[in-house]
Amino acid sequence: MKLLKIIKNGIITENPTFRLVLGMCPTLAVTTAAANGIGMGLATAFVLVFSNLVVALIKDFVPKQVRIPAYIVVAATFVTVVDMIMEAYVPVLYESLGLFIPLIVVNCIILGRAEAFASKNTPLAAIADGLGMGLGFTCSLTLLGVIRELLGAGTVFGVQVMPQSFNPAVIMILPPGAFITLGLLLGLLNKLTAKTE
Amino acid sequence: MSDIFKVGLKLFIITAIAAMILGVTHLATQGPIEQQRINATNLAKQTVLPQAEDFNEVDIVSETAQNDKARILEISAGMKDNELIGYTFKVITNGYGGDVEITVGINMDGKVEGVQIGEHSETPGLGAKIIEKTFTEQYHGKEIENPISVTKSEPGDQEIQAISGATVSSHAVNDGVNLAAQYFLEILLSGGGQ
Repeated sequence: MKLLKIIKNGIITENPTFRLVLGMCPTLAVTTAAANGIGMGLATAFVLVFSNLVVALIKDFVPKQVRIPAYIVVAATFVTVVDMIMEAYVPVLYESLGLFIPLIVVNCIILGRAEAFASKNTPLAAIADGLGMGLGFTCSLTLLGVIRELLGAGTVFGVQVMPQSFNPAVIMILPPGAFITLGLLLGLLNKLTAKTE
Repeated sequence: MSDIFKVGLKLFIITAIAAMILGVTHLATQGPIEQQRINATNLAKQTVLPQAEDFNEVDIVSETAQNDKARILEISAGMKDNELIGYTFKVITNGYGGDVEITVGINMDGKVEGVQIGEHSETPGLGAKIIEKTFTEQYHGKEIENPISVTKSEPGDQEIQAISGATVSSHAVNDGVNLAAQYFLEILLSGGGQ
């Protein structure tokens, strides 16, 4: 199936974090805890699916010269609408995800996929790409969050897993910890894939 | 030249549609959003002063309502059976990542009933821990006769323990509580409030 292949492409082959190295700002900023990673990932996936769909639908209407501003307007409008609706009707969700929503506008994954995929493919394929990339982003962010939370706070998803005697390395949940973890993971994944090739 | 015009027009159409969608959504959601914020404020008051049943807003009168670290936004008198049992203060203080909104409840015995953190942008995993009960509950029952201070070690009577690695955020909350306490002592208790 072609659509499944597109989804798998987003999660593994072209994983936005570890392969395309896109969207680094939110990746580094929010992965202080596993729950934040999942939250940011899912919120991004949601927006990505719909912005990809809209971009694929209007691709013949948008003139080539102004496509970038047009895509940004699409993404920003969609994000703002989601933000307002969430605050109005699902305050519980807004409380935990509200922080991440505005960050999505400036996430270059949205613009990158609009430009590289959605504007050249059918709406259905664009949805599949949004789903794949979004899930891929979610998986990588959660992985980063789990590692940083485990070493920096001794917990995973807020549950204590390290023994009480474990002295958390606070640096892991500070910005340097984000760079260290990301760098090591990127290197590790490159080494693993280099061997299989 | 006509090309520029055509491209500009299309971009204009796109942005106009976007603006229309935003406008309609805003109209549809502004009522509910306002309501949610009121609910959140009421819930915060109820949490920090649980014995109270009604809350009446009190005018803020004095210069004491502000210092260089914090400012009081809103004060309510908590009532039960027409009897005044305490006050709640909505205070904005300077955290590590910007404004921190806290709600403080002080009862007529001059003790802190509760502290709750509202909107903030402190560092997740560090400063953001100020919202956790283990931190805010330290204030429960604290006397406000003298300012409360923050310590890094085992806290004494007039002290609360800072969150490790988040001294600035802990101090921010404490500054807010102390400002509310000062206003309570100087203005409300001496009868200047009502």
